[in-house]
Amino acid sequence: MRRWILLGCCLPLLATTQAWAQGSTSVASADQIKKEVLQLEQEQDQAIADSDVKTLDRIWADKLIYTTPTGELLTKAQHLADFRSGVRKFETMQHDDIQAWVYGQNVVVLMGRSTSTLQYKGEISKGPRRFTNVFVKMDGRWQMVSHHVTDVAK
Amino acid sequence: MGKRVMSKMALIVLLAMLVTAVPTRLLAGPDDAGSEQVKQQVLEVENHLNQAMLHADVATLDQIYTDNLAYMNAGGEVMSKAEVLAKFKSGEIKLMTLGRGDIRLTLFGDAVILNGISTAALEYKGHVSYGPRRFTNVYVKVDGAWRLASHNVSVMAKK
Repeated sequence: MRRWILLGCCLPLLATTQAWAQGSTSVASADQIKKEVLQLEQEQDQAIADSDVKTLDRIWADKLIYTTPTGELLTKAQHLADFRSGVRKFETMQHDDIQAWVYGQNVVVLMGRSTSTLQYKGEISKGPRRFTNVFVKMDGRWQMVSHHVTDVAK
Repeated sequence: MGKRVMSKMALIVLLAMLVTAVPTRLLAGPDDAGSEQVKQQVLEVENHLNQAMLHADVATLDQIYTDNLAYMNAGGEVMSKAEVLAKFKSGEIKLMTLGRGDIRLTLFGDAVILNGISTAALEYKGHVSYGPRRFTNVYVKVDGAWRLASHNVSVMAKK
């Protein structure tokens, strides 16, 4: 009898531990993943419009790779500092033609068009620009790891 | 007697599985020694990609590009995989020389971001440009192979 009690205790524990060991979680559909990331993208747009550095700090991965239309490469710290100081300021926010592609359970590539009015280092630009954002699920949450934006040729 | 031995063996097997399961997860981190190996694998694919572009080797590009490739050129023009391949095939896009520098690779879980500067001579729609351009290539693992999911370029401002 005691043997069966012991086995009964061990089996659920074993199942839990094996699942944890393999890092397995429930499998989400591509549509579910896309929905989650699009929501985060909207949250990011709002945070950019409001210069909400705290939210951007949460959404951006620590090793964020950010490329501007002039080929300038910025770190997360530099980019946050630009928003904090007002060197970079969005006067209007307008993104459209958003497309997203899901790779596996943990990577989403998102591409879109921006006609936002942006003030950067004293200059105002209105686009149109094309941008690509890459989101990766790390530590159980989606984070933006890369942003590359390019001016659309007139 | 036989039943008692079997039960003990079952318990031993269960405990062994419990003990071996834990370290597997604890040892697998994003910054483990495997990350350098992954970066090396991606660099090899990037080198194949460069050679394939230089020689307009459409078959190799087809293998390296994911089916949903998101490709954006320096003019902000967005192209599908089929469009990019067709332009290499027809000679509308022609890479005349290779020039790459400041290559940085960063591993993020299941993706590798490769960022660098290109000074390649590129002919597109009859116009030749030399850069410098900053580009971002995004690699993801599909069916066990690293493939290019996204390519973006910006012309760098003159200093």
